[in-house]
Amino acid sequence: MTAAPVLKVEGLKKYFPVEKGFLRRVVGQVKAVDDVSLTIGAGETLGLVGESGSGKTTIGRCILRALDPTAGSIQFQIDDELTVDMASISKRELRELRRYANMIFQDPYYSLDPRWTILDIVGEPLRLSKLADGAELEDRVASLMDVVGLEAKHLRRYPHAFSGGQRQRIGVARALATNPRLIIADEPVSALDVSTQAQILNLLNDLQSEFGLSYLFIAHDLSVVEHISDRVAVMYVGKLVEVAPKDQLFFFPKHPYTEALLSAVPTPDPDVAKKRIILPGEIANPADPPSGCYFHPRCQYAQDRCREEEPALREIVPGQWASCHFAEELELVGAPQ
Amino acid sequence: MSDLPQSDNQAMNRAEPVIEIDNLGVHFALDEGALKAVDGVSFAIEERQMFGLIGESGCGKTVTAQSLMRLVPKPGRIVQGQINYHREQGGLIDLANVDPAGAEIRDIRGNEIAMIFQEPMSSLSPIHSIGNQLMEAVLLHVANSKREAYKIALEMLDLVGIPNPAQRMEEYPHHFSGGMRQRVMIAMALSCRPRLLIADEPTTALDVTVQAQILDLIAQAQTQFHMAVLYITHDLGIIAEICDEVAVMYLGRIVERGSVRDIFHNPLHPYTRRLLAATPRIGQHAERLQVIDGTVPIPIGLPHACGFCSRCPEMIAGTCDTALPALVELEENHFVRCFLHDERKEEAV
Ligand SMILES: Nc1ncnc2c1ncn2[C@@H]1O[C@H](COP(=O)(O)OP(=O)(O)OP(=O)(O)O)[C@@H](O)[C@H]1O
Ligand SMILES: Nc1ncnc2c1ncn2[C@@H]1O[C@H](COP(=O)(O)OP(=O)(O)OP(=O)(O)O)[C@@H](O)[C@H]1O
Ligand code: SF4
Ligand code: SF4
Ligand SMILES: [Mg+2]
Ligand SMILES: [Mg+2]
Repeated sequence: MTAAPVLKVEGLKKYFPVEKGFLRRVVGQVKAVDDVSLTIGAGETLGLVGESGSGKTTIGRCILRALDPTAGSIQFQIDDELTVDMASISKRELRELRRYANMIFQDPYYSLDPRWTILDIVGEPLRLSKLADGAELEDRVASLMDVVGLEAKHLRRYPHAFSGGQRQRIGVARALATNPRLIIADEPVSALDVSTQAQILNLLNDLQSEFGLSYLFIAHDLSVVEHISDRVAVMYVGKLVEVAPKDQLFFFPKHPYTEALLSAVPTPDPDVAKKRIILPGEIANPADPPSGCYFHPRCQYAQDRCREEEPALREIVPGQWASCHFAEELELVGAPQ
Repeated sequence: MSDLPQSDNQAMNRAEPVIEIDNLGVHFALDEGALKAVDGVSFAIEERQMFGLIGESGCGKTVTAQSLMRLVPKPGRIVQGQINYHREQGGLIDLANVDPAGAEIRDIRGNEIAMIFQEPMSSLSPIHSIGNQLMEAVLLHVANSKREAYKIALEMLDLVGIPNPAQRMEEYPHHFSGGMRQRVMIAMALSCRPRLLIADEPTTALDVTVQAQILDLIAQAQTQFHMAVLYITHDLGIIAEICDEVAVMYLGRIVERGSVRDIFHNPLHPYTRRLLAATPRIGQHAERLQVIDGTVPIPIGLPHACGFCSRCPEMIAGTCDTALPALVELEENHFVRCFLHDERKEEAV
């Protein structure tokens, strides 16, 4: 991990309009991502967790500018000389820079076009970035197949002829094609079995050591996140509520939502007695969030202050940030050790 | 709800069996040949027991569950074995031999044996209100009048922790979050007080916090209604937390079966051991995870041999690939199917 981050996101916001009726009148806003700041170092993996709808995918898509952010800056270090703000570059610049960051998707079944051969799929980013074509492109794709552990003889086959794990390898090969610095992996193993999952996680690990890649790893399986990440960020209704090095976060959480998440992770050991924290109610609606601390209607430690005043994300101990008024006082329970 | 006592099945291990599956075989007649989805599966579930079924994708968990409800889709067919179900009013019935469209199974299905599936959206109709769907299920099985059905439906929604149940009855499935839809499905399944609940990956699509709510709910209902549960998942963590007994399936067969402690602390089958080793654990700090090389073969035209032999690092050439090991009780209530532990074979039929 070097000092200068590969990615530095500051004050990122993405609001979606809420439309109603025949005239599609805008009646409100979904604050899908609301003032999020984070950094990812070279060769570092930042895990991103949080409930469904909390804004994880939206962050990833803003970083790649698949979505235009509402506000904020996204400083992306292309190389030692050049750093750009992905949030404000033009479409033309974007086309040139797209090759430096790529995405791997959740579903290996739906993210690959069934009418394209593996050569088309993995080669497309190379063609779009005008990095290779013809025989050179084919050579490059063949070597990518080798990197992800697939045989090059399958180049002209279609996705349906591959298993789930193999398809996810194809997705990884495609994401690697343009030699990116940053990969956004959005639930890359959620659809896979434990054994296939282990293969893909090992592959991502190997590729990181070999090419010094940085990952933003989005997932809801906390055991997987703990395995692969260096640091972990926890989201709740569009905001980061805790960011910390993984051991800090998993064993000494400083936010009650993190504590609840950790208590809910099933432990593969029948002798570990745990008390699951059952959160009352539903996740807050991002179009109409609660007052004060968004987590207060479900938080077992909430007090009057929490209903009125929104807590800021503060550094509680060096490197560990949390947004809870009582982060210093509460003695929260981490994952069983 | 959450302060009801947790189930303690240890104290009840003299309970009666609810269902006994013996040598069940289910084949799909495909153009390429017979696909042996379930191939000689035997196990029993006792009253109030939480029985877990685990294994990789495609190993036959869902088809096993479908057989118990006689819901195996075409071209699938039960080709062998018995499913002896002990009826609520006493008496034994072999579900493997009833007419899958007949009155007997319809009387049991959704009434004495209920099932919840992985994707609640696909099992709820989008064009009927939640209340109507719940009441319909209740009317079919327990209630005699609409009034009574309404009352029971309301109670069930309240029981599964849906706030404002009266108002929620009027709403449609798309107004509900995934977790709430799954709770409605559970309410529906529980509304007839089943003796056996089959839960097939009921939390796979849900967040961990919602999963915790659902697992809690199933455990509560189990204690409250003295229900037996067949819980299917490939999440070993869930199995460790909620199950009493576990069967590990591979390629249509049970390869190991025993108490949850035996399976997690003393796994004997190479496949069970590797499944456990491939599971990431918090605080383990392993650079790499153990993998199982290769993939699950398609069970068409396979030789009469150990199903795991194409991937097993401990395979004994000339033995494992030429005969099928029998499922042997190595220790009390701990069954293993592997030549490393016992040389007994299962003859081909
Ligand atoms: N294109 C869009 N238009 C309107 N609202 C959107 C759009 N994309 C996302 N949202 C809303 O923004 C919020 C955040 O969604 P997002 O997909 O980022 O969540 P997530 O954390 O990735 O969830 P999951 O774990 O389910 O993938 C949700 O409320 C979602 O409904
Ligand atoms: N309708 C069907 N037609 C043909 N084959 C089927 C059908 N349903 C299941 N199979 C086959 O039967 C075998 C067992 O499938 P099953 O769905 O029981 O697996 P599973 O253990 O539930 O897997 P998963 O974890 O993916 O749900 C597989 O080889 C599958 O391809
Ligand atoms: S600020 Fe209050 S409501 Fe929010 S997490 Fe902290 S204690 Fe809970
Ligand atoms: S019977 Fe042989 S191949 Fe099968 S699991 Fe045992 S050792 Fe491995
Ligand atoms: Mg997402
Ligand atoms: Mg299944």
